[in-house]
Amino acid sequence: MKEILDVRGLTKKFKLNKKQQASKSISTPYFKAVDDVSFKSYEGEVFGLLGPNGAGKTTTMRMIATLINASEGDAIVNGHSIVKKPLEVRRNIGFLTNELKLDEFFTPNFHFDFFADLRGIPKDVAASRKKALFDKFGLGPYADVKIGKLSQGNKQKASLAISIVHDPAIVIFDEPTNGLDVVTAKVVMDFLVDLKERGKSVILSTHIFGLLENLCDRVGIIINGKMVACDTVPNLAGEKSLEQMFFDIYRETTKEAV
Amino acid sequence: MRNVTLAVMKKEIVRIFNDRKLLFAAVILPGILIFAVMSATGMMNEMLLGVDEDHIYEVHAVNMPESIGTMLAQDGMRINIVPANMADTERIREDIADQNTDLLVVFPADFDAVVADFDPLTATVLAPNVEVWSNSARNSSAEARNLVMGVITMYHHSLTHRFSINLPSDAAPDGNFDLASAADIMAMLLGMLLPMMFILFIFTGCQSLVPESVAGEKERGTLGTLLVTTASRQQMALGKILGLSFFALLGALGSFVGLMFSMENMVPGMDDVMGSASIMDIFSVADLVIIFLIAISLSLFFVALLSVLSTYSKSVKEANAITTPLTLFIMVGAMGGGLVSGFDSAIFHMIPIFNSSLAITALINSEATMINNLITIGSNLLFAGILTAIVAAMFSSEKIVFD
Ligand SMILES: Nc1ncnc2c1ncn2[C@@H]1O[C@H](COP(=O)(O)OP(=O)(O)OP(=O)(O)O)[C@@H](O)[C@H]1O
Ligand SMILES: [Mg+2]
Repeated sequence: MKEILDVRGLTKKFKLNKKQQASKSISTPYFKAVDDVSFKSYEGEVFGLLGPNGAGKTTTMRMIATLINASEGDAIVNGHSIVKKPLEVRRNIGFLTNELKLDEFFTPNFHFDFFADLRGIPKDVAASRKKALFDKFGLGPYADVKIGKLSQGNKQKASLAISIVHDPAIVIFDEPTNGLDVVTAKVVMDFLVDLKERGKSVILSTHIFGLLENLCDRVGIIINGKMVACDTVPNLAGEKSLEQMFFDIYRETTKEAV
Repeated sequence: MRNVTLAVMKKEIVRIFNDRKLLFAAVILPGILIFAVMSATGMMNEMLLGVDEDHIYEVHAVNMPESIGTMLAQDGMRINIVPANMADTERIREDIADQNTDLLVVFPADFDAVVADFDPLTATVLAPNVEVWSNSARNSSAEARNLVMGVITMYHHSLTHRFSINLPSDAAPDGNFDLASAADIMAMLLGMLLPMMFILFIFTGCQSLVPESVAGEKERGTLGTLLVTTASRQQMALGKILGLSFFALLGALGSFVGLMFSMENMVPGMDDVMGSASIMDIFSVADLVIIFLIAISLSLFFVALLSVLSTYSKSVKEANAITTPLTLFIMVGAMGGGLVSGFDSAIFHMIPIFNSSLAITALINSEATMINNLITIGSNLLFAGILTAIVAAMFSSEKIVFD
């Protein structure tokens, strides 16, 4: 299997102001949100990042997507370093989170063309990709309806289609089903499976064990910024359920009773 | 990839055209407001000072002497002399007090003869007295008083004639010795108002657009969606600022039209008095082109400035809270050019806002120099460019967008 992503000792230190220090009850002005995280992912594989709130999942993904700078370490995305070639990395990455939204005033059609333009994709290529994606998602009848007027499900479908206008080799999805109803969540999961089948590398973060068990080939567990375990689901869990295994590791790492 | 600038600009323009509320607030409203405000000011002026042009002053006169009567009866005076008896005066005074009529003038009987016989050096009685009753709360009464007093004073002077002032002559057959032309007077009025209005309108137009669009994108999470693409931040920032400036300019144009239409209402009867009340008397076509260019550069500058502040803000609300107090500073700078004099060195034309105020004032006073105009426009564009670069840098900063 071809290696698509190679994360090498990624670290993120945030400089905190007084208020942030107080809220985290730490005395140093620096806070290590991500601490020396390494993992790999391959084409046709779904990699899941599992971790409690504030573990550093989003921060890790943002570094890989070059939205924020890594304090230390590097990640190689389809052969390009996030530190040295961030633009190349962006060309190869699709990044999706529920915080990133589409403008309510515009239609899926307009958005698709707009983002294809921004990414410098030739018109004919963009047009055939749009047709294929809209057909797959059944967005055809809604292509010219403003995003603001679409149902939650169709909105999500439009977001998904538009996030891969540039046909990236790797798609990163932060909490893909967070806040979605079951029907919309299913749309997203089907989309992820489809990406995997088309040989894409998919990285997702989640708190939901079921999603990991059903979808992920390999799972990395992040606690307090550190990758404490990383393997295939069967290897990690063994006889236990993934959930049991997670709480065992969590207790061990944090010395907290859960 | 100039495509990014174009794509972002196009998106911005389409978005605002589709947002009726924003379009109205930014483009249409300023023009309407300015028309309403200026016209209302004009109307208030008229109510406070002016008298209806067709009003015939009703002047009641007891013992009106022929000498003064003929002068008052001239057409231009618009005075209707109503002869009265001494017995009526009480009633007429009440009418004046009730604002039902304009004026009462009471002359001594045989005024002309009494005056002719009177010699201040040998007289043993007081000089004959003329009473003029008016009501200053009634505009037409106050006006009539001025007219009648003017005539009586003239007559009074002619009786003790030693010299005259400003009698009609060949050079001034109508007795008008004020050499200000219609254009000059209008220029004076405009010189104070126009630069400030002009700059302020452009700013308020930008103010209704930029926070909503820039901080709004941040708040709505659509800015992040842009930033995950490969598109250059510089081009993105430029595209956004150009797109917004387009509307800012439309808004400024609307304000300008509003101002032009309200000009006549603002200064009542101006075209009657001065023969014309057209902006074209003040500005040549070349001047208007310069003004337009200043408007463009100023729109870009304001949009870029507001974009920096809006990018910094976390929400539209915060952006508005930061940018609104700015209006005060803008106003000071905008008024500055019309108030100061002698600021024609190049240095002053490098200070944004103030330079535009100076430049427009100079155009109005026909004192503009091409070099100062160019420096003004150039400096506005330069600052807009610097601010755009700052916005681009902010787009790249993780602190600003992903915090
Ligand atoms: N810009 C920032 N400045 C300071 N601290 C930050 C910043 N961004 C994130 N953090 C902190 O870093 C830690 C990791 O946050 P992150 O969002 O990556 O966690 P997460 O695993 O995605 O959590 P969740 O499950 O809640 O999404 C948290 O403690 C968070 O408060
Ligand atoms: Mg997160």
